[in-house]
Amino acid sequence: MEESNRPPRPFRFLAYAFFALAVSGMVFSLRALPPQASIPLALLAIAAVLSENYALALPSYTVSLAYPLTVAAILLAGPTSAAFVAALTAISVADFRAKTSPSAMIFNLAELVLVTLAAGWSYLALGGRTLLTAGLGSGQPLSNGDFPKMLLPLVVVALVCTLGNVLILALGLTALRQQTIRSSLGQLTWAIPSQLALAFVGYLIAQGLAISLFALPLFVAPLLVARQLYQRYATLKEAYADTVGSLIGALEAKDPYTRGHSERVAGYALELGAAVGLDSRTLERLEYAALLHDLGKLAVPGKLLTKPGSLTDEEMGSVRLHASRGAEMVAKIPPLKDLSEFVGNHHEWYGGGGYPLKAKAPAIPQLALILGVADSYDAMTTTRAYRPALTHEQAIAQLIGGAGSQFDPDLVRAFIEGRVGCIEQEEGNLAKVPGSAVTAPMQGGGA
Amino acid sequence: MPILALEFPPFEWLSTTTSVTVLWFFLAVLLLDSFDISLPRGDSIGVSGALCAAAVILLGPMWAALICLGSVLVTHLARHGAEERRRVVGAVVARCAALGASALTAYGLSLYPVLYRSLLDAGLVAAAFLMTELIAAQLMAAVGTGRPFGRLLRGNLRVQAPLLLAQWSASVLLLITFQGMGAWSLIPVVALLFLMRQSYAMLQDIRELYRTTVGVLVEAAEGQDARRVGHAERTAATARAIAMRVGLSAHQVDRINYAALLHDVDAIGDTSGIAVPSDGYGTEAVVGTSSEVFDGVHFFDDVLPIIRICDGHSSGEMVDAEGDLLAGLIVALASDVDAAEHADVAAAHVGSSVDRVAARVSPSTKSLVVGAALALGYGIPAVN
Repeated sequence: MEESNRPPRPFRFLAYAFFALAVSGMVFSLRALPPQASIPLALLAIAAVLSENYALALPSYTVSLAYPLTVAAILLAGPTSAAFVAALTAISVADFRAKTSPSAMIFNLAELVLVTLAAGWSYLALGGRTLLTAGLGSGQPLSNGDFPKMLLPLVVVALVCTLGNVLILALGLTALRQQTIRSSLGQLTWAIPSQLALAFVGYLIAQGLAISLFALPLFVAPLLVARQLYQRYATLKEAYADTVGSLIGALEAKDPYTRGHSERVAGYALELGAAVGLDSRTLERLEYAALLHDLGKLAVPGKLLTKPGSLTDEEMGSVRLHASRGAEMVAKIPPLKDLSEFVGNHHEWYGGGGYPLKAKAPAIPQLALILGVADSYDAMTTTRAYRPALTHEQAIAQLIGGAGSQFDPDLVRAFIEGRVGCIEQEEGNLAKVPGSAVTAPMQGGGA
Repeated sequence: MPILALEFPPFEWLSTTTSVTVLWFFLAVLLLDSFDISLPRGDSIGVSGALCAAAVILLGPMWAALICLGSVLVTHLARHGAEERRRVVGAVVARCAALGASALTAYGLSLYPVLYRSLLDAGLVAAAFLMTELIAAQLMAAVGTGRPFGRLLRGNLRVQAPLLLAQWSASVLLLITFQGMGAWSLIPVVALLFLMRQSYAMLQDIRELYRTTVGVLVEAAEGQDARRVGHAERTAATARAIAMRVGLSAHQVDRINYAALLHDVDAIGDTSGIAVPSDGYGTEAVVGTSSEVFDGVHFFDDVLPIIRICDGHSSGEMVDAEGDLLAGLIVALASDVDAAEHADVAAAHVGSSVDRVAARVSPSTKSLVVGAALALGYGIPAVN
């Protein structure tokens, strides 16, 4: 967790509370089971510090190869020694360089120590044994005879480490970003399968080190390969929305009136999605859907899109086909197939009367309704061949006028609150937003 | 702590190991084989080689053969059925060769008891298995497709070297940990291999997402002009086939695929100020503008030099790289092949870029590309 600005007070409170808990836990653990010094443990600690400093940075938190090393330390030397190894991994040069706030560093340290202590003591309590005996590194590796009775403690270590990590980080993210715990969990749960696999790798490291110190270098290649591949994946994933946005922008350039439309709609949709509390994964899907919502329009002859004045019925029919065509095209991208219903429904109206199916809420998916608001706002505030741009105030008035008929009133309210940022200014108008009354359809929205 | 602490069973072609251990090995190899990653060029990458190599030492070559060949047969037949016989035969032959090479290595080392049972032996047997499987698979691919074996092997070695090294490490780790834990050691080793497989699969998935998205966007834009529909996709397929026949690396094939999809985007994009004349290009030298459309889209940074060459510009580098010129010629030729086969495309596709690109490449490059296209059966327009 890296935040360079001063974190909000709830987060600082949480960080110091966890730190106090971690210190108490360490004191208890030190008295119950003093740490042992051994060469394998020292090697693990060095490897853990090094790998933490080469951790893979992701927007929400970092994926570090130190994690399996900490699990290995639990098996080799028990909770107290492992907690020291875990504490060392919290020392990251990158944190100092990035001027990460002290409370964030303290939170990371406390989280690592607490999870390691909990996992280590659970392991011992369930009958697990440490693989290193006192002295200079002679080990008693796990043998065939240890199984299946060692299975339960080993599985519990993996579960406690993984779930403990996710839960504490979710609490931290909730306090730090002042978002819901559900949203925080949504940002972290994707990592559970790989964290579990990494715990098993930790067992392998422990067993290898208990047999021979020379086993340690054998872990370098597999873990580095996995990390490098994952890094490349994460980089490409981060760049996907930007790339698609640029690509769409380049193709949209044929129509000077809609240049940049999809990227702006994506921006508005994200604002609105965040305002109504969508989790990060849904926001990501919303962004992709917004970027691709007018894909079908790329196939509409340019002369229709740039025609001044009104379109004939036949021409309007051709233009309106873009919603279903766009949905068909998006369905051809397998990982984005589920977005096609949002793209296909983004011109449906909340109260019915839109196209292509004249569906009504609640049959219209929420993301499609969000796209409808964002799309209409951008269409209204940019110049089109058939009319000049409306001002922001005129566009807001149109949204309010269409609330309950064309637009979901809750979304209109949230959009105005987020967009304008001055609810008081619109208070009078907002009071007029009806719950379900059907008002006159707005003029000049998207095609 | 001794480095030579391993105690492998004495070398036997068919060891008297327990059937339970064999069963666990079979299930572990089957699990990893069934999660092979299919690659766009038709073959696949797996991580089960690490377990197969270890099985040769721990269970003896005969059990190893039963496990590894059984698994590859089950997974390939379940996935492709009997129709894709060439693919199944290729996988079985590659694995037989790998088993043979590693068995002979183990047997040879067992003749020298001083050396046998060392970490070095484990490493040599694992390396023999993994390298032979890669070489045999590429040989089968070269025989089946007519692509040059040397280029195929070089390209695959470059791409797969880190994965091979990681599998080699996992294989040796299994040999080390098997001594105490027995078949239980398969669980963490399979987890490690799965982690690598998962990371590779995620990377492949996101690459596929990019490929499909670009294809769909171009297809959408082509909808503007009924005559052009499908041209970019067909050009990309032809260009990929020629590039693979020439023996280019997976990365180069990928670049060529994107360049082919986007090579005519100036015409379909019809961007303001750089529009294509409504009556088409004249017969004089034409400079395209597709590369300008995507200038600034960083994902295409390494594709733009090829599109620039197709446009009739320099690649943008001080000296055009021969690789970029080769790629440009492949794309231009593939585009003309499609125009020659589809009258509608030819009508909308005035002005060929093949001649101007061909004029800039060396005769050997030209003959390489033209030879590959002819071998694939494409009726190609005359090349200077």
